[in-house]
Amino acid sequence: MPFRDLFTASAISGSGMSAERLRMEVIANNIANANSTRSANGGAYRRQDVVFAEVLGKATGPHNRPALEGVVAVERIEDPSELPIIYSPGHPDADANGNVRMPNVSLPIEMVNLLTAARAYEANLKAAQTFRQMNEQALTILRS
Amino acid sequence: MTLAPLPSLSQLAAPPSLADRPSAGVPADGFGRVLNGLLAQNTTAQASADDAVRAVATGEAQDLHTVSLAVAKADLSFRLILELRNRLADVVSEVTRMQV
Repeated sequence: MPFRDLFTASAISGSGMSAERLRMEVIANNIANANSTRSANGGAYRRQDVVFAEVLGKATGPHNRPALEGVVAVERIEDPSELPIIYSPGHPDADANGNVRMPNVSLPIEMVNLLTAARAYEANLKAAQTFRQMNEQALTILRS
Repeated sequence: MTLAPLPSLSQLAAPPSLADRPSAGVPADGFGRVLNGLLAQNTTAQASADDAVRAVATGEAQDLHTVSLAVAKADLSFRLILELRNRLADVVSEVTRMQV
């Protein structure tokens, strides 16, 4: 397809937006589970984070550098930090001493991360919009 | 009197995508061939935009921005071809006006 190379920049911005969207999903999941004392791997919920990685294509072109293909979310990791303990003897998940392990989700931190993800999404969007504007301006050369 | 059972209805099928359709016959040479070549290049971008919009309609779309980017891409490539076509048409009319 001859137009493939013309729109690489918008594909890269799209991959960035997809990655940031996934990050927002993970953060929303953290916020939703801020009080979950049960999780899939037993015990209280642990806050999760995503790991992003650069994507490179085959080496082509005059400089023989690998083609740029944006970003991809490669992994979802769990935060290994200590789970806070609260004293709540009536809780069904309390141990013999009446202590309950709560998720290590901190709402202020999650809100800041959410803001970062939203702004990063916006930055990718702006890059895509600018790329489109550049192309439109280049097309005006053809109009006499 | 016995009644024959009703025949079952055939299932709904999605319309074939633009890329699957056979392209129009390409003329031998000249101005028409150039134009047809340009239009054929736009078909793939149009087809991917078509697929993206259909994915939204059928609820299969993962991201909204993917759809927007596909449509923007089809729009840009079509306008590039449109500008080139206008330019070519101008050139042809310029030639027809030539004094002999």
